[in-house]
Amino acid sequence: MGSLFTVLREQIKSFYLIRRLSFYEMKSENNNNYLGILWELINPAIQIAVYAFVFGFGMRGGHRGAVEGSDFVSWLIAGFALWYFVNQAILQGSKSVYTRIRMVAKMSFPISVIPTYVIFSKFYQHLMLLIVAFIFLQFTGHIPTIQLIQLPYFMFSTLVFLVALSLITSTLSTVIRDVHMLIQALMRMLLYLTPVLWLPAFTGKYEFIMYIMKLNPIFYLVEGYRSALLGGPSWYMLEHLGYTIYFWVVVIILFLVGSKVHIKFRDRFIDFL
Amino acid sequence: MTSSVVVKNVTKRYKLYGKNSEKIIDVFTGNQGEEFLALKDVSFTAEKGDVIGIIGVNGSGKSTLSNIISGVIPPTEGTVKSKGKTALIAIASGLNNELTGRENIELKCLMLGFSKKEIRELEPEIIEFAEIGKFIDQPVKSYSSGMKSRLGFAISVTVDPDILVIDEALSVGDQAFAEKCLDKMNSFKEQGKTIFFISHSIGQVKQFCDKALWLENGTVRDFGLIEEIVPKYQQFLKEYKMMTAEEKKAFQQGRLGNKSNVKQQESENGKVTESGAEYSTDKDVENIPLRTKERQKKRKNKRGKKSLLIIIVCLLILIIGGILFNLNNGSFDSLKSIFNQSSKGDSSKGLSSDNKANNKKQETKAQPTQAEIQVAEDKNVEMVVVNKSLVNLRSKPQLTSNIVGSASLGDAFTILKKQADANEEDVTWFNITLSDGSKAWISSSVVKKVNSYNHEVETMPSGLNALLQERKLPTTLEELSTLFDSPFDEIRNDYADQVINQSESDQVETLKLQSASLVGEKNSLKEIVLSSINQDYDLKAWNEELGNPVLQNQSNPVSIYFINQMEIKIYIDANSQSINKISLSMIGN
Repeated sequence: MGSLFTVLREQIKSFYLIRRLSFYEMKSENNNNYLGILWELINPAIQIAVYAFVFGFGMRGGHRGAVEGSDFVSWLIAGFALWYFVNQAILQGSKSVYTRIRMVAKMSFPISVIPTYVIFSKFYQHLMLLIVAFIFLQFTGHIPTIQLIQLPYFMFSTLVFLVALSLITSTLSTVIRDVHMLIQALMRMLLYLTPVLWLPAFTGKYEFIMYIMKLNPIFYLVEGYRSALLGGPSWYMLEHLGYTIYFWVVVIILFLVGSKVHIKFRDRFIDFL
Repeated sequence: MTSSVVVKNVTKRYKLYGKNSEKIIDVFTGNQGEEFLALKDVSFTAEKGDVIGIIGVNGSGKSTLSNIISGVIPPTEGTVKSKGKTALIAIASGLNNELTGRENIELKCLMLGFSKKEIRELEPEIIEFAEIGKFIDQPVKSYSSGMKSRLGFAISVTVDPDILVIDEALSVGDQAFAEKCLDKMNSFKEQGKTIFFISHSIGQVKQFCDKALWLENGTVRDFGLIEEIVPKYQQFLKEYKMMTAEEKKAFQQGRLGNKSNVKQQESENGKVTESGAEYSTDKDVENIPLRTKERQKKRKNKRGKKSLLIIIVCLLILIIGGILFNLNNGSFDSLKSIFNQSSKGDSSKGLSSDNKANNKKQETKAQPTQAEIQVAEDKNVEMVVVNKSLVNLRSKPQLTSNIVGSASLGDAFTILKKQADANEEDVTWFNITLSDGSKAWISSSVVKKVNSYNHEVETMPSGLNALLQERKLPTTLEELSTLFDSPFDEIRNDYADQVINQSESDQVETLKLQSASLVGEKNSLKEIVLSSINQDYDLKAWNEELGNPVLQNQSNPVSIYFINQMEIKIYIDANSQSINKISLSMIGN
């Protein structure tokens, strides 16, 4: 519990620091290409195009059926915008500490802030992508409804979830570098086990698979984003209240475990390099 | 004078690992790998205003100590108490290569914990001190090494630390800059700041420092005023230079920790005794500790291989056991059934009235060509027509699930999804949308499946055409489907002059026209009812134009036809065989 408060205090106190550092992080990342930050849009756009072709057109045999009441491409974009952010943030977050500790170790720097500012730098790009996706959705007939109010809530949930998770992964992959490789593999797997590209609908005998898949908190976030962007029939977080509670319990547990391992190892991070 | 830095019993232990596996085991158990003591029980106190030169031969722990004082690395044991801000100036200063000099200044200051305002004030000062001109707005990767160290030094010096640790940083940069740095440090000295100065240049140390800390093999050999220590150190250096390679090695190996330390001593003892006998063969002397090490390594390797073998065997046993257990227990039944189902699904598709060609042969008159099938499949809409008088609609595709509504004979729906019943092999469940927009499941045992492409008709049947014309309603198929697509409000306006009576109940609105009525629900046209027909039901004539009725019911006489997605229900008087009324509705509307 004590370590949780230490970490939380650091996060809140260093908010200005997080903002500035994430800005520089984003800048230094895209300084080398001519198109610079535009790549953060081009890259996901290409991926969406391929997935739309394979999963929307190819696999469904040109079937134009709706998914959850929207056309497939809109449905894909709403989910993929979030997935792209989560994927990048988890991967970068996991290696954030051991790649940057040399830069910051020489000072009394709150190390728990490192994964946070890396996630934030991805968050700006996410906002950009989201705006483009939002404009696109206007043309496919998804005019914003009152459900759009959910979006800030789900953004906040995503950020908190990512920070909590990255506290664990960044610590573990600093101690044992293989963890990062494992996370890469897991994320590749999760792309297909989260309803980003297809909507799992197991009923009857196989309904238990549905419950297993829903254990993944990203499931909640993806569906929440869709509800907000595509104007779902109701408030997702209230309609699935039990799921909302489950999500936050998971986040709190992640935070507790994350701050515990982080505090336990952080003095020795530099020894693991 | 007050103490500024108090170093107490500081020990820094590093682990040397032979293999990666040792490293990971050490993370969990903490007793793997050879220990190496970089610092052993170092204690000293620096007063405020002291300028302390840290001296010692290579590998005596100078850099480790400077890192510990400046807080870069934590000590394994012991404490370091320092008052005020500490800055470390090292050659490899952590600058971000992708960012410009200016951005690096802000970044570094941020990391040092300065506020926005302070940074804005410091920035020009730093730029001025660094003297790198236009390059300040270029990415650091384009800097020369001298420029980099200038910038690093400028930042560290300008942030006004209370304790400054300089780790051989003055050896880079040109003479002019070095002098500038010395000036700056002299002014720090005057301000009473504590400075740790690490250098191999005895001259610089003598010139700049007033105290010296002599480290040897990780321990404090001596600490005191510069005048006392430096001569001793110089004397030692002379001796050190005279030492043979072996002696130097032995001198340095005094630092291997704990267990290995004992071993080392043992082997050293061995060396002494053996050297008495055969001193001339230097090789042997060296070989003794080497051999023991090799032997150790071999033993370790053997043990490693053995444990690996055991792990693999255990895994194999687990996997085989698991498979056997599951086979007996029938846990794979579900898997088997998946495979069975998928193959069954393939074969049944061909048989059932799905979109397969052999099916078409039975129901249409002419045999279609391949191209026609293709077109038909694209346009195909699968529908179900209820063929029992009153049936239940359920919330899930199971007989045991909740009843969410009912449907009556002749009601037709488009199919959204299909799913086989979990228990009954012959039963399929269809997911359908009800008129209120909600979804429900209906069992295949109470419906008849209809494919719209089996009921493609180009022109309106003449009988129906005449009836529609009499009632001033649209007569062609296109016009009718437009009518079904248009909002009911519009229809109400269009037919305003023909409406005789208008009634509404339970969201269902009925416009009564001459011998016909339009039924709307939720602002869309649901049904067109043609009444007062006074015509005998000529089965043959109707069938000729529309094909055999999809459904014909004897007890409650009704014949159901389809034109594309339009359902035509002909209600017949049981006694006189005349048509009572005809209802037209669009499925999936």
